[in-house]
Amino acid sequence: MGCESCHGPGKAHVDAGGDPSLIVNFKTMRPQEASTYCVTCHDRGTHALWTGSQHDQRNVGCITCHSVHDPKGDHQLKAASQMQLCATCHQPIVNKEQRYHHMPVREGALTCASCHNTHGSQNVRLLRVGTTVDESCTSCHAEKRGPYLWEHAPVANACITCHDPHGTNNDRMLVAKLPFLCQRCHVTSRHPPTVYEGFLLNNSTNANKIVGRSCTVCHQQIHGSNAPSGQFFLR
Amino acid sequence: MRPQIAFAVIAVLLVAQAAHAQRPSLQPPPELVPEPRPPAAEAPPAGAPVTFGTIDLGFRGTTTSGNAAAYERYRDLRTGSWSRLTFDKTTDRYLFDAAAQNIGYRDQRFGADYMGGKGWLTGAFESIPLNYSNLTTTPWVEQTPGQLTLDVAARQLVQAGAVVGVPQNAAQLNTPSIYRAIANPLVLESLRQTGAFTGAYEFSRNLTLDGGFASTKREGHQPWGASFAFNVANEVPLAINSRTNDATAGLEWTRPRGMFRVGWWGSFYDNHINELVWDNAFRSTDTSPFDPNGYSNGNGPARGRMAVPPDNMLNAVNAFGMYKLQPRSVVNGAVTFTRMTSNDPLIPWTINPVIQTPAVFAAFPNLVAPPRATAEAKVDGLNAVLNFTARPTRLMGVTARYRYNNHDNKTPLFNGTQYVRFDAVPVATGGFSEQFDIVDNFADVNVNFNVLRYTTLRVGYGFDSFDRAGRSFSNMTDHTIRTSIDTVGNQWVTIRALYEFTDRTGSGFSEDALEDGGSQPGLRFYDEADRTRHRGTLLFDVTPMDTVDVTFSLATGSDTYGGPGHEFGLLDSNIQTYNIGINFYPSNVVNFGANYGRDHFDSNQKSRNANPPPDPQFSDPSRDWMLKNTENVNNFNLYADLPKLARKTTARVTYDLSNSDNAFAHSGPRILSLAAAGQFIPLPNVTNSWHRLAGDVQYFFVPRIGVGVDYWYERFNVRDFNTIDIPGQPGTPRIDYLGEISTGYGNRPYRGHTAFVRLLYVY
Repeated sequence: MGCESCHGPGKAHVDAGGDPSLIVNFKTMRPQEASTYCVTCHDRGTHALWTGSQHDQRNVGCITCHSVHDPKGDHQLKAASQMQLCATCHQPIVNKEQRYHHMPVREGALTCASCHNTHGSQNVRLLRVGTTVDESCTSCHAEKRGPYLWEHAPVANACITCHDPHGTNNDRMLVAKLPFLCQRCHVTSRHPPTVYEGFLLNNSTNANKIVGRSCTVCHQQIHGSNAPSGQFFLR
Repeated sequence: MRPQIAFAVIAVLLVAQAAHAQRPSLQPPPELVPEPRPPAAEAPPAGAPVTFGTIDLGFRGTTTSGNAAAYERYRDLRTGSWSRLTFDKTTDRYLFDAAAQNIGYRDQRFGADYMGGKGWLTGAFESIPLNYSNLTTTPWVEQTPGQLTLDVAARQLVQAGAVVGVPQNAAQLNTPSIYRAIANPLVLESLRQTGAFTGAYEFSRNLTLDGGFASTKREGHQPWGASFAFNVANEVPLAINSRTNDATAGLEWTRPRGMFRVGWWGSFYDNHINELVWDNAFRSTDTSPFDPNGYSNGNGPARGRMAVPPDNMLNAVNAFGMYKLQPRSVVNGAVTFTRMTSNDPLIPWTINPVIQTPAVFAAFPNLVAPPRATAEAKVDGLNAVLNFTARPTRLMGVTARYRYNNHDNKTPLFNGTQYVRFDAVPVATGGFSEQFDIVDNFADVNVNFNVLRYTTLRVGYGFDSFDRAGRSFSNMTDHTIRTSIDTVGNQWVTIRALYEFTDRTGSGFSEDALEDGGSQPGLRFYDEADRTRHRGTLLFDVTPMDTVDVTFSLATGSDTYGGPGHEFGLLDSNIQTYNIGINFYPSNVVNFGANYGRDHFDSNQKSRNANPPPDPQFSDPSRDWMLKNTENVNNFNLYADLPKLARKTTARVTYDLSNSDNAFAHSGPRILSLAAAGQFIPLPNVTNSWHRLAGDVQYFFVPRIGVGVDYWYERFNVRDFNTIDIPGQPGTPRIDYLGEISTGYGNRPYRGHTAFVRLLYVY
């Protein structure tokens, strides 16, 4: 590859003493337009779904994140790490990595691209693997893939009904603290809708539904069970 | 005033002459040992083969206090050696690189990549620990993985009522449980090790074969619930010993105008542990005959048995095509068929021999044996995506997407009408298994208008319809409208703004489906309830001069659940978050910046504390209660990068802070009545704060050889009502609390210091 592979014929540019207006100059283009040059080659593999992808629609182009001439990180990224780069627009998400319960992104064992293909995806939310949120999550957490004899309806739908994979201050990256998360749906009778508060915490064996694992100390098979007696996820 | 500001902004956009992409955050990557950064790197001669790399060896020392496992979490920071080696070679024929890090430790990593000729090959070995706790203890003893025993003599004393075993009331908390005395230290940790390679070979310019294989082994222990009754809940260490093998293969055919690809992905999970069997902390013998209230009073079996995650398999075949139309239009689409299966042998209904008797079988004939020997669980998935993007002129473009997903559960129904609760009691109040089928039809159209030189305005509409079996609504449909504006590529300002409104409406509501599960008829599950959603984001980045940029971002969202008859469940959920950051690049000697962010979450939910019908409590509104959950989180980051602190010296310092205040406010008539009876105490807020300081100084004696010194400090404080410590010993887990023998796993404070001294060689 040479300069003209991307910047077009350069003779006039050179003859004019380097006039930048006489070559293809990506700095003067909208990012989306600049990307059309890149995808003439980078149109296969993981880039095949770029055109029309969520980022492409928002006028995020190849040159928004990558620098051919002055990269700072791997894959010719403009920042030293993906986390830094993604924080440019997604700072609230990156902040979640600072929560007590988080994925190993801030430790460097995973990156944003471990789960997301920022160049486009067949899945939702630009997820890299699978065709559903669950398939993406269980590509690593295969022990929770099932299918099971007894299934929990929201698990079959999407892991993110209960978990925030970017990090939370709740145990196991749950979107709310137990037992209150479970109580958002389990408005039945007897122990599920009991008011779990400080009096029970200090005076009753019902404290075991507040402390530690909370509901999942008994309903530990909440992702599904293959035990014949497991329909309430106790076994 | 407002029009003047708007005109000023537009003017800035119009007069911009040179375009720069939005600057990335320069906030350094956290918790990583910075790579060697010699002040002046030599440029290789153009066109010559280039070989470079680093040798980064040294010593690391770590001291901790408190919950050290949480400090290390996914790392191995033990005192000892430190290593990082990289090698990179580029010639006109191939590219090769290899790297290794923290060799010999639980988070060691190795990798290599080769690209040249007609293909590429990459290989990696990664080891990721997950450290849960090193403060935990347990009285259970692991005989073999999945088999836990508990001291028989202690259990006999507990059963006889001679000692406190599982505390049953506040008075018993004053006497240590016998299990506390016999508990042994338990390090809860697991290790995930993955070896993988991927590669591709180009048969021709147009035809490429690619494939990969990854094998992941997991070993260790995790905290796990293993209970016998409402008043006998346990947490035990569950052994982890599994392997997942993943393989992929694809064949890709490309032409200048398009491409076509077929692929396969197989994933095979093998759990080497088949069941968990553990002793009861409340009893040493099976209650005989069984006590019909054993599941609530603890008079159950001597031991229990449960299933563990079963072996499973996923196979997916995929076909993908893309074609570039004229002018500037692309159509692409994919079809994927997925099959997931799980067919492990089923464990028996119960391990309790008291229930496995002819007399019990006469009353519960289904319990003689499970209806089938294996799970026979199967789900087929069909996913299709079709995208069309047209940009007929530079002024506008259209993007349309249709997505179909069918999650078809084909597991034969399982008759669990009669089952055994907690291995203690046979009951006939169960039911058949359910097939949660989901069919999702999604369509989305967006039109982009390039209204100004650097600005794109987008309007869009989305339709998402879910048909679901086994839920209270047979269908829910989302209608979404959105608009966004993105001003990007301008030298001085970047603006990204989005507003999205979604209306969700369910149909085919079945009150019977709710009542079959014992739920209040006014309950609506929040993942299917009628809902209105507002979401907005704003990103405003200003670069008034080359040496400064300021970023402000705001995100807000609100979900309000409603609809006919909706009374219970989650009522609303809201989030507001903002960040403001500033970066200075005054010279090549120093860069520094800071970011402050605040996140606010709140939600309201409603419930009713009642016995089931025909008890009038079930429909008594005086037993209603509400919970308002509010969490505020502050984030702060500060960095200073000094690439030329002094001659031959570079330095970098970062400081990060995150703190949270999570409040739980109960209200409603039920709360008032409990309070009047002296039976309500508000839960304290759950708070935490986390601080991290990291510094790196590198001094190069000569351009290629130097030394580095790094220091990390982390401090975490937390107050959480769900974590119980021994009275007077904060930070020391109490395993014997009301109705529970646990491992003591919880959220506890820690401090950690780690220092590195490194010898750096850059070649």
